[in-house]
Amino acid sequence: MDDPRSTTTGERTAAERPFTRPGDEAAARRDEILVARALDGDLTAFNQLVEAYQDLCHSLVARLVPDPDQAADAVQEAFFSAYRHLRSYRGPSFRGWLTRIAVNAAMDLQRARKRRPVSPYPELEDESWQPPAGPETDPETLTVAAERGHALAAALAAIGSDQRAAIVLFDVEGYDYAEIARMTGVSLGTVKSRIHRGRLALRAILAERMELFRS
Amino acid sequence: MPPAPHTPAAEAQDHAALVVALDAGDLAGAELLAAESLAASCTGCAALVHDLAAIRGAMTALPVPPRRRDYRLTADDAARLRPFGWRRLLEWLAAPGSTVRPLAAGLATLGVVGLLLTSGLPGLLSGFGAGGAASSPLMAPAESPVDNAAPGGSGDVQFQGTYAPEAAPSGAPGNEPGLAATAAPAAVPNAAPSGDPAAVAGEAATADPTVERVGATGTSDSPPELGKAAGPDAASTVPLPALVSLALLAAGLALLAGRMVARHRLT
Repeated sequence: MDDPRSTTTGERTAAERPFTRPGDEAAARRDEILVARALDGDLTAFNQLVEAYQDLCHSLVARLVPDPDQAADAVQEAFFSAYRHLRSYRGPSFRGWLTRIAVNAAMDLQRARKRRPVSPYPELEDESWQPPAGPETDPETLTVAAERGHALAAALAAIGSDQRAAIVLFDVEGYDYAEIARMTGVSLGTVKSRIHRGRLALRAILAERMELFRS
Repeated sequence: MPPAPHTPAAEAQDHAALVVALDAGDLAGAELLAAESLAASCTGCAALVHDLAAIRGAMTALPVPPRRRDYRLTADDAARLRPFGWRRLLEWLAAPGSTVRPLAAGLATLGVVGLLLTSGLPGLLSGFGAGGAASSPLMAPAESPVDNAAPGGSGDVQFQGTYAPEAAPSGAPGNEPGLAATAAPAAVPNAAPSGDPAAVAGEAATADPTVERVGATGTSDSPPELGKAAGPDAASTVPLPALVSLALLAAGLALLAGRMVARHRLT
């Protein structure tokens, strides 16, 4: 296929990565200063880092963990762990380091509570929720987009946690295979396999509702 | 092992795996050509390619539930996560992955092994050689009390003192056991510090239960000296390796106990 996004190793250029933005370098410099102050015992500095990244961590973990309470616990645990192990941070990107901690916290928590039944996000069942307004603001498009989002979230919640993590990290967060392999502690081949199998599983779950996605 | 039968279902699975790899851009060479030809010739495969692309495209617009919690750390959180003073020690002791448990187990094992070596091994060796036992005071009670109770005996002087409590009754049948036991340790302090063989011989002679009994009952010339010397020097009969082993064992057990207490307090 002529998809320029992916290569055989799943590498992506900086422009293709959704989290690489022009302000990232300034943010990285700010992070280094805040980390240094936090290491000196300045809790306010660490909380500034939390404020900067709690939305990012929340959105990432909420996609990995279907249960809202578990997701919130995982994010909290990630920040606790970051504070506890701040001395082990060696750079170059605090954002990347924190993301790895959040992914690990989410996966650890899911492994620990694998057998516990999950209650999906009630927010997503709420009809008043609408996706962020884009160029298409006509009611029908918005309704279809909302319906598609709900269906996709439910399908993601239904597949295995390892496959979900690999798909979210690759398709939503924009990491490449090697980064996902490092984050999740598995081989490159396993990451590929999880993504492939996960996509097939999603397609099987969404088979009855594919018209939402084809439109 | 025979190959799996080539059924239509297995073939469909193979095709799906090939198509999803094609969609992900993970194919090259002959596999890529085969997958592309498959997608072009098979309607089901072509539909799968389109569906996968549509799902992947929708993934970026995946809704995110609103954040309901503020994750900033409080001062209490910070104190708990980076404890100081005794609480830090407790955290270290109670930490699941800490080195406390292996360290404690190692110390205790070394202690037990050390104690076995200093006490048990010489005993075993003495079973094979006559003189071997003399090197271990701890195993001395295994020796025959009759030999050591003999006045002016050529045995090790240390044995005299160590054995005296047991030796006295057999060496002097008419004596009261209690008196002999009281007097016996006196033989050790007087003899042990002296390396002079003559002195050893002389001291060995004083180890005679009869003489000791007299001293202990107050008829000796210097009973207070005998009593005074018996206490501190008696401890010197315990060899240093045994003491070190005991200390290691105690340290290991103390660490384990400390860990249990710390875990109990922190939970």
